[in-house]
Amino acid sequence: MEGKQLTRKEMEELLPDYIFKRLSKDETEAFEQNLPNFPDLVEEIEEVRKVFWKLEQMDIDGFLERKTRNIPVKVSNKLARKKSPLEILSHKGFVTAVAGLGVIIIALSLFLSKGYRNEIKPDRNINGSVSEMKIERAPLISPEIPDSVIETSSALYGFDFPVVDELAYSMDNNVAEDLTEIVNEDLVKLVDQKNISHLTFEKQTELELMKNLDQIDENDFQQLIEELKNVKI
Amino acid sequence: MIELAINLKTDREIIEEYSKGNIEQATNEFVRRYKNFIYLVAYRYFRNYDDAEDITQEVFIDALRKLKDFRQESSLKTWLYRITVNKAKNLLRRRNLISFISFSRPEEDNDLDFPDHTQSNKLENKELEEKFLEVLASLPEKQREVFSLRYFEDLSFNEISEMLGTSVGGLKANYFHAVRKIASEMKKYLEE
Repeated sequence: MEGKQLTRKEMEELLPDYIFKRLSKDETEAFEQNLPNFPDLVEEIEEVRKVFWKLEQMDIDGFLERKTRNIPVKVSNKLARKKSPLEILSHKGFVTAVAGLGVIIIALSLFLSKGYRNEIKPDRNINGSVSEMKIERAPLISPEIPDSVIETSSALYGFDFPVVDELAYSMDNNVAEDLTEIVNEDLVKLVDQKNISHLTFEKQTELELMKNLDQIDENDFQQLIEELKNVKI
Repeated sequence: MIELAINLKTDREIIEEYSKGNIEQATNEFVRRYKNFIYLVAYRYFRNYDDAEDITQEVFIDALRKLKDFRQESSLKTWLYRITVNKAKNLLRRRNLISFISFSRPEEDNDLDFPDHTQSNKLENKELEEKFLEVLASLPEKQREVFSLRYFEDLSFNEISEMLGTSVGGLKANYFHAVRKIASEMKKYLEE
């Protein structure tokens, strides 16, 4: 580099390192040889040196050392607390826990999918009153439904009786028969207890007759039957 | 205690010790070696000691997790520098976004307290150091970084070039302009 003519750009690029004494011996000599060609740079070097001489007095290293002295301990503590996700995954206990959790989730899913729902089940011991029907919560294990039940069930869907609509879904053969009786009896009881004014005249007369017959003494009833045998229709 | 007596000389030794499972010693050496460097880089971005310390810790935690996989294609210092700058920039971006959304300015803690050797000129030096760091922080990023890495860290232009992804010629020009601007601003301050 010695004897080489340096351009202004080259001189500027070398200037900071020259000031801070970081140029090689050859670079320093070349810089100094060319410096007289750039008097403004000579002036600038003096200015920069004055300023940086002041700044060189700062104990930046000592300051940083004091500011960062606890960082090794803090980093170690944080590392001890924070296990990386891969480390956690590779831990035996974690794998066991995840596997266990997986089994529980699968079991729970199966349980819920087949699980419980409201199902209406008649009590076989009842004596014909709808009010005695019990709604039980029982596990659903989708039974095969016989055709006869489906027919009965379908027929009952047309019956204008809300409870029956619900019952029609889940009955078996015997239940269907029982239910018919129950509904009839319940209907009679209902007619017996409630106002029948909305029925037709013929129907009302029929119901009144049934009611009166029910109240007739047994002997009178038998006599009435005997008399009816002689009647020609 | 025997482990503490071992002095790891090079980055390669630190990485090897860490890979061998001698984690405590390697971590200790690694952090002690680079804490000031990372702290100062972080500080230049935040001008705030607390943030600088937080980022420094995060950088070490990230770096230590990846240290086994470090392929040594660059120096540890270069690698750490990149991690630090990325983290600092990401955090600043987030803060700027939050600041923009909340229509408030990000808080800046310029309470710089560089200490000094004597009590008598403590205040004077403290102000000088504050001003110096203020001027440094006000430089364009490339100028600020090349100045800091060259002046404080004594890195070669090739190393800085690798860190900043700028040509050596461009770095030298930036370095010159940084020195010129710092000198000019500090001269004005000193003449006041």
